Amino acid sequence: MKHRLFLAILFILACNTLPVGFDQINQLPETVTLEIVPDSTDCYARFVPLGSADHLLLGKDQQYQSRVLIDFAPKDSALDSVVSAQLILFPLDSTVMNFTCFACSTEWSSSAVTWRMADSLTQWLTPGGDYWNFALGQGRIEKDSTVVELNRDYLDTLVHRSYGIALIPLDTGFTTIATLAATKTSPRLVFTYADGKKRTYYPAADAHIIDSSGIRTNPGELFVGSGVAFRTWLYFRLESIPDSATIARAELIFKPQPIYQRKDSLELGVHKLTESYYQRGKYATYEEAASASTVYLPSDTAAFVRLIITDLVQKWVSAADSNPNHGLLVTAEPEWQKPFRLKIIRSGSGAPRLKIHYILPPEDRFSR
Amino acid sequence: MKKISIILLISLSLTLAQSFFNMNGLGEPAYSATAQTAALGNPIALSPGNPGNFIHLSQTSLEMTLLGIGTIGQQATMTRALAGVRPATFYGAVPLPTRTRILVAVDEIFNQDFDVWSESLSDTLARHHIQNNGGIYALSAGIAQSFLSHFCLGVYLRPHLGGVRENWSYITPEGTIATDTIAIDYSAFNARFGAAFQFNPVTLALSYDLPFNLTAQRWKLIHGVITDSFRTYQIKLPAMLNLGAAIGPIWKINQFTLGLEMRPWNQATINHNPANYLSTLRPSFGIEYELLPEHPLRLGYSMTNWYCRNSATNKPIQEKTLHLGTGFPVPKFGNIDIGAEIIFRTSQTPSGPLKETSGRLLLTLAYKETWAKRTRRWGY
Repeated sequence: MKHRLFLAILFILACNTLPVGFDQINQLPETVTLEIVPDSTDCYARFVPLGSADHLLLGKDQQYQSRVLIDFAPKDSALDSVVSAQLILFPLDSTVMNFTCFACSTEWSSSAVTWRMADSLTQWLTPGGDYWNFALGQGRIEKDSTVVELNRDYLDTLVHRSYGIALIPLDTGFTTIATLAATKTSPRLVFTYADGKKRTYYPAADAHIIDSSGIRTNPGELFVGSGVAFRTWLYFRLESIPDSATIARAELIFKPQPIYQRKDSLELGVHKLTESYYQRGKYATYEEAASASTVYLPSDTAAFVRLIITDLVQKWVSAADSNPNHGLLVTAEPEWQKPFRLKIIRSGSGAPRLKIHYILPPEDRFSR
Repeated sequence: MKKISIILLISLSLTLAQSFFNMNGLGEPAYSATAQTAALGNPIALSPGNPGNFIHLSQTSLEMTLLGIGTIGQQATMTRALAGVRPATFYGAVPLPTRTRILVAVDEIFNQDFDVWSESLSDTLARHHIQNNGGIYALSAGIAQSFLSHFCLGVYLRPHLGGVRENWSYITPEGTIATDTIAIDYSAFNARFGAAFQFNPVTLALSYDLPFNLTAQRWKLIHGVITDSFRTYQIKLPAMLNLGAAIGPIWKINQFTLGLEMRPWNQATINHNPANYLSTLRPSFGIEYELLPEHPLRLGYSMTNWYCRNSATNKPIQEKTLHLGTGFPVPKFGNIDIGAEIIFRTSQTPSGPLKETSGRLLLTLAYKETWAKRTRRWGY
């Protein structure tokens, strides 16, 4: 009752934000809406570490191949008494996939491993991972969990002379496996001893690595993609906007053309470059945190990608000294998503453009 | 020191909407008022704001007035209400031997408080919310001389000081994206002369404000930093004359008052260009009736046009005010006066008349005992 009375009093007092008297300000700040097309564009592809992904992707097709690396780091000195060694995996989807297990022969780091690099400094001798040339076992991903019996003849190699297990897909298609972050369904290695006792090892590191050597692109084409990162650099000239302008809204708009996707919703982001792309090319650094992100649904044929970068454009315009405009990078966000690739067309209504609505400072009461 | 004074004066202005017309000119003209004179139609010549109005002053007098305002604005089908409280005036007068009086006062000359919103726009455009706080104040020191208990002459030296901060917030569906501030500091020096004649039951009074140059220094804080250089405006305001007459007491009527304020401000200029102001008259009358002993009932009426125009249509802003009030003595202190004003303002705008009904409540604490009591205690 008290609340209603309070609301009634508020209503009577008309405590609202209606524009009563607003026309007494007879000169409003000038507002401008403009659309800018990129002054410069470029695109590059890069193998990126996928160790932080929330899944392990295993599979291949004509364009991509993904392998899984799992390091259990077992420390066992009684390998002679092991009567059974099992690798247990928990799939996250229902795709059936045959694969072979090999013992990695080169040390790798989950935070830096890619198809080309074992860690941030070391290249694989063979792109796609170095492993001993004998199979530890062969398995088939299906149902709720997969158990792979490992060949005990190579246990000593696995434990003492290798850096984990590499899973190489044999079939076309892709499946996902739970990572070490999933406490109940993380991969595990189980040794069974002669006395019936069992010992379970959990992963110390895992990652998947993806190759895109099956992809053919033409120079000048712009792509955004995940798995193997495709990034598009866009540079817009903003000199025409006064530094005193308030950016009310700045929106990067484009309508991509889906080329390849393994999921229905694709997450995209845009990052601010912190170095000159003209000087550093694809090695130009960018802010790790995305300035904006969005979800694009390729099934919606009318959908445009809209990334709101109001704050970023405001900094470029009003604090250009401390925030030089080196352009922005359109990426998959995150880049460890299941592989997809979108083509950004360069011309037409779907081409990228920056739509900016800005307001110039108001005049004082003696000038308006 | 000046900077601190301006900040203090701005902070005095706690209300958010003195008037929906305050975007025009220098804002709402504020009258030097106590609750007592406000209740009688605000005849400035008969108020402590007139330095000549101190024919009889046997005790030190300190009067502090607090002002509460509630304003309802109506335009087309829209209604909006705002309210606030702030200190209004302070007057002090000390009697000296030889019928000389020392005077001090702080009162507001113009109030520029307002709070308006723009209309709701489409999603891609920012909505404006503009809030302005501040005004222009006179910090007066003066002297008055009474002659033969019938005649008094006085002068206030009135440095004017003021500051306003007009904040433009740009609001999108994502929230407030930025605030630009227009800051203006005002300064001027003026003098007000006053005189009063009293031959019971008639009192005649007048006050005269010299023409003066108001300097307005403006700068803008865009995105929190000053990005615009100073700009200075010289606002030349012509003289102002206030006349007042009071008759009483007659039977139970303590006094009947008439007031007339004249602002011939059509000659006002801003940087030597015509300010497009109007010359205005503000006639007022009031009556104080002794309903109960020492509990007077006061009633008044005044009407005027504002000196500045409604900037949407260039039409005048009309104002009519009903005044009323009362007061009662407080033993060993002085008295408390309560004044109320109901102000009706209207002006034509493209979307119909903009009507404003403003209720103002003034509370004056008048302290009048100090020196008289001490004199008795020490037996001088």
